[in-house]
Amino acid sequence: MTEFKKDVGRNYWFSLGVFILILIIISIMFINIKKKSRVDVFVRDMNADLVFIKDSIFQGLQKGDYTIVDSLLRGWAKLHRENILELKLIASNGFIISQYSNKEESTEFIENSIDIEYSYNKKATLNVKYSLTLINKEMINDFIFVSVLLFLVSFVLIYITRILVKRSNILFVLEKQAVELRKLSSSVEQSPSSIVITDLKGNIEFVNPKFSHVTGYSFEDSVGQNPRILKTEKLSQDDYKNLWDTILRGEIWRGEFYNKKKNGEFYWEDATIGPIKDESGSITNFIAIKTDITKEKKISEELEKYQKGLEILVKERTREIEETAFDMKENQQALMYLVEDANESREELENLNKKMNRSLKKVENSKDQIDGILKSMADGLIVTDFDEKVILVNHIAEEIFSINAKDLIGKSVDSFINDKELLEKFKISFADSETGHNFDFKITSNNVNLSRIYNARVSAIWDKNGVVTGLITTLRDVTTEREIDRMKTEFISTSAHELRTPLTSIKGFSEILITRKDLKKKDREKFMEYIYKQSERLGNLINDLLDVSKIEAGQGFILKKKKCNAGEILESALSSFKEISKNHTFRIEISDNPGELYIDKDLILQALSNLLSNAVKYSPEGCEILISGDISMGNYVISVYDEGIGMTKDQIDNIFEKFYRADASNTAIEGTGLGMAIVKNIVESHGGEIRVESEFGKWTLVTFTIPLIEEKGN
Amino acid sequence: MKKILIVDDQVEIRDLVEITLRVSDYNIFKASNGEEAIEIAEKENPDLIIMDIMMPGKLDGMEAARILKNSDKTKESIIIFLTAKGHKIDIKEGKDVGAAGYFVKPFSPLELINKVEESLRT
Repeated sequence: MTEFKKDVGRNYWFSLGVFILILIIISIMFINIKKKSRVDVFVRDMNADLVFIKDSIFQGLQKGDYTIVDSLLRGWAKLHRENILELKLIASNGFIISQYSNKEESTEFIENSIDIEYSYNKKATLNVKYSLTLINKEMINDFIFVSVLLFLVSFVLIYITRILVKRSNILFVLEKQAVELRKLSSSVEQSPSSIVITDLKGNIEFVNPKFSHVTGYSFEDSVGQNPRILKTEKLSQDDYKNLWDTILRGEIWRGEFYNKKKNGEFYWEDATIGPIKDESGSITNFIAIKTDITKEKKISEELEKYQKGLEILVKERTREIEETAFDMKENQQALMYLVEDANESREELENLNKKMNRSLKKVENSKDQIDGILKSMADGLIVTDFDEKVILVNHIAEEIFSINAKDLIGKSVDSFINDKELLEKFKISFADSETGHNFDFKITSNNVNLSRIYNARVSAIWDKNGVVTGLITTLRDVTTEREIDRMKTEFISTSAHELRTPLTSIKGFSEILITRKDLKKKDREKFMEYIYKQSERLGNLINDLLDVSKIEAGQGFILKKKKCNAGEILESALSSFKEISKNHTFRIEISDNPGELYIDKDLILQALSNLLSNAVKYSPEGCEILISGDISMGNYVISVYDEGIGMTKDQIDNIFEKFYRADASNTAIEGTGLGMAIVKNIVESHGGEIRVESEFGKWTLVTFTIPLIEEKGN
Repeated sequence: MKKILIVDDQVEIRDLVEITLRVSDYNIFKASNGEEAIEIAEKENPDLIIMDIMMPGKLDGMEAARILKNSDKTKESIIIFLTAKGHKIDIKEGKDVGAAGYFVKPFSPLELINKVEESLRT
């Protein structure tokens, strides 16, 4: 603001300066002009004065009387010696006619030259140096006068300027104040604090909107009222007295009020009340600035509460800590001893650590070994702990139950065994583990042919104290074994059944013969024949069974091989049949003579006998049965051909099954059903192969091969 | 004259049983499998059937017996099993089906004829 003041003032002063400068210049000009005028006047006067003697000078010059001229001039000069410094009259030829000089010091002078033409072509010049001293003296007056005038004018101007400047400053200040006032009043209006302005008596002259907002009293409600409308009993008389004393002293009072709003609500406010003074320092109003601190009050109250609580807590804790500190001191002593011990132990620990690392390595190696073993196990393995929770599952077990080992660790067997019955079996086994329980179970897949049977055996794991710590369950795929068992059982039951049949006849007919006395002789003979035939049949059956059981037992046939002539073998086989079956014609065809066959003669004959027997059984009387032998691809090929009832594809497929009778419907034809099985076995024992071809109702061809082996190479 | 149906797949047994039964006059019918047995039974309505169990075909003796016992026409026929199947389970099954007797092969013809006569008397 002062800068601006300077600015405005500067302008004015500058103008003033310029103006005064102008005035001075004018004055100087005036003085110069005045002086010039005075000089001119003076010179004119002087010249005018000269006129009186001018004629005389003229005459004198004409006469040439320079002395007169000189004395005239000199006299005139002397007369005006105040004004004349020098005087010279110079003829045109340069001759100084008259000369006068005042001894006075040269001061300012003016020269004046007058030409006097006193005759034709004759002129004299009068040079006069006038002293301007007097003029100057006179000028001084002028000068003083002008100066004084100038000063006066300046003073006046300065005074005026000052007033102007002051005025503009005042205006400026006023403007500024107006702006400030506007700011102030809007801040008062918009203040977040309540503002109340009262007169000296305390009557409200002004409240800001915030006040109205807080208290509920509008501007109109409040003006003229006393703030005690807000008063509650919280503040005492003494407090009020204190307040008034403070502010009347001109000081600022700070405190809190507990007031009541227009709507009866109570609130806390923090108030600063002070006086408003005028320029003289006398108090004109009081202003109170108040902020609602209800919330803060609440918070501080609560804070006090907490603080109190905290203090109590701290006191307690402090006490506890003191007690503990005391204990700690005692413990510290003990600790020091412990530290000594600890240092000793540390060394031991380091040694132990080394040992442990070595053991760890060993364990790792063992683990690798165990992993290796587990991986190469062909059986499934499930290891459970004493809680029946899975510890370990090998990959076979994973496959069996279609599970993932990592999903199962720690879980019980319930989590992967869904079959209730199976689960029961497992549970029973677990409970019974000490006796090495085992049981079969079946895992069926969608394809019935892929169902497999497993045998689970559970045994206990004991620690060295004899306490059971877990269970090992091994799962062995016993599908094939069970199948074989089934087949064996079936074979046995079928065999037994087969045996019973002839036996039934033997026993039955025997009993009849024994008990019935009234039988006809013919019948007796017939029955005895039955018995005989059936016992033969029984004998054959038993022989066949023995042969088959040898095969089953894996003994097969013990071949007593020797060199034989193929042709002879075939002939031999055929000849025995020709005798038995006179109803059929037999033909033999041998393409090449192979030399020798290295075979068990009896067995091959038995095989041939079986084949021929079948051919006879299953072809009608009168048919031809052909037996042939040929060499082909290192084998000797023998075949038996008949034109009998033939076989269907089903019958061909099953022909080598034990006890399978291709045509069981015609039970008149005897047979054990084991013949072909035995033939197959004999052929295969020799390293050969057998094949059956047939057209149902037309013919049957059975072919088998015997490999030709060089005697040397055998 | 009482009608007796003999059912067995083996001719020797059929003959044996027939001869066994010759002590008295019976009208003898024979069948060699389950279906045949039912066919003849429905036609002739025998008083007594001697039934083998292990026979080829769709129906074995046990099944045939069951069917006969369930059919109003034939349920009155007395059934006596004559079979090589001698396990307790089989005997029980036979009794459950409603057989009057169960003989295991090889059998005594005397015992059989006694049973037959006894059954026909009641």
